[in-house]
Amino acid sequence: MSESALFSDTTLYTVILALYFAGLMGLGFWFNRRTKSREQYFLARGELGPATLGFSYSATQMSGSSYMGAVGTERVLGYNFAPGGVSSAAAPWFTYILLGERLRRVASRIRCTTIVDVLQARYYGRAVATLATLLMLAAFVPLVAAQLKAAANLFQALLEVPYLVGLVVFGGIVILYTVIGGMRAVASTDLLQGTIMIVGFAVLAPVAVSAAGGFGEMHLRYGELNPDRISFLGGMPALWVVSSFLAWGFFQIGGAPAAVTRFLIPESERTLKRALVFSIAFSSFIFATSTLIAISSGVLLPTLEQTDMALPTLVRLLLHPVFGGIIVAAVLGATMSTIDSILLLASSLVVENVYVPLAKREVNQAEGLKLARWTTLGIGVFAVLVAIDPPATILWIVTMAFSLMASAFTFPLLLGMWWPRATKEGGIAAMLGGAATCVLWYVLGYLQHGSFDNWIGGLWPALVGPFVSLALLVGVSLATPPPPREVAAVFFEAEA
Amino acid sequence: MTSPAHDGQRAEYRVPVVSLVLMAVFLVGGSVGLVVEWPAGPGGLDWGVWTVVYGGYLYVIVAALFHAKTGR
Repeated sequence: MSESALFSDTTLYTVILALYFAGLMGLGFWFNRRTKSREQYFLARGELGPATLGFSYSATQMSGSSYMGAVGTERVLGYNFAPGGVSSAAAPWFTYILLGERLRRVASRIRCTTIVDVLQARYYGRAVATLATLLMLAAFVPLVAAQLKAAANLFQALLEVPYLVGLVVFGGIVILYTVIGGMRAVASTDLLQGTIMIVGFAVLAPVAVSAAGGFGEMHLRYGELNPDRISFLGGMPALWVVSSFLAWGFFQIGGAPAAVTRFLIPESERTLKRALVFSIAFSSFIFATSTLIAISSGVLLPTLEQTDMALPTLVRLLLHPVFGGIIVAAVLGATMSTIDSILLLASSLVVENVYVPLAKREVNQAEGLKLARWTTLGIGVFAVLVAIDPPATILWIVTMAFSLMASAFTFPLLLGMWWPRATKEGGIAAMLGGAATCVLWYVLGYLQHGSFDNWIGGLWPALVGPFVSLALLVGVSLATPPPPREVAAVFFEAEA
Repeated sequence: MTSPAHDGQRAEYRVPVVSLVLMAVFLVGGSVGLVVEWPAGPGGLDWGVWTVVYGGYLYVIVAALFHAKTGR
């Protein structure tokens, strides 16, 4: 479908994207008029229903780079990579059950706004809050920059505009949207974009499989082209495949703090449980259909060089530009979901955990809201500047940021909610030790393999870092005095 | 009058034992399933892919529904 009767594909894509983003901006302004306080802007506590909450969690966790990256990478690695998809789809199941409900209860008690507030309360001190804020900000800027670069690449390929123009236009839209809208706007558009993605993949997957010869024929042809990728083993080392399966699910507990922030929002357990069903259905559907789309693209586009362009190329090849444009808009929307959630969390950390404590005075709602918006703008612009010339390996920047946060935060969060004996010293040692081990593992892997996507023995840093963190948390906590009585009262005794 | 939020706050918290067992089965069983040899299955795939990948999606959906329904 290269030309429509009246308009070129590029014109149609441009019109659809313009309409889509204009609609989103309208939604942002609509929510802007209803946002009166910092807490409403950052959290919208108790204001989101189960579907919005569930879709928002998954949309933030997955991101546009998941849609494009998962299809592109799985097209190359085949079923060596598919277990990571299953595990990613299972991430809400782990996080909601192991962390979500306990976090929701604590958040209701201490009325916190950020995940760092929870860590500060649990590990009783500013040291943990400062350390957590620094680690998260260190991971957020490259993470946002990588998403912006992916989106700008998509603009460049589909709309035929220079990279810098795509970056500035898309970055400007996302930053402005987040600045004006806050959490309610972010979460509501997550629901809209998630729904479009489900419809889009529900159409694209059968069309692509059919174009590749049908389910059985497609796999036979893929197996002929990639004999070591049609099953789990053969292409990548066994430990790489197993550790990707283990890392992408369970360790999202600490690896995706912007998504986990959603657990601070609901005021009832029932809402959270129903949100879990929406999250798991959304994630499972997207990752399962991604596999089919990826395998079909391996058959239909065997010589495509730019891995991340598999999805948009397939969309352009197989779907009418109007429908394809809507899917591409939703993919960009998903990128936007991740960026705006991270921007919102980053600005909330700066305002709530840096500015307010340093100000040593009451910060009123109007001042706080204004400061929050300026902070969002500042961090967003900084990320755009970084994205002008980032390292080339987008997918692995995202993976490194995830691994760093998974290593630092998974067990301090998890044991902080479940183990009364965890102490401040243990928490600090776990965060520092986990993050340092993760970085060290990357460096050692680079020294051995010359790249950041293969590691010693194939063992993922997102597995090594958290286990060092766990050992330090347990060991140091047992060697130091127990937490104060008040901490146990807030986090554990209220359950009795 | 007590709001639903306060009802939720006061409700006794039960450790979801069954879900924890299901998670352990998923992680351990899935990992073992990735490294064993599987016989060829339908659709040009082996039974391992059907079990761990496509069966895995079904497993987590059913397990999440079970938790949402029972809280266990």
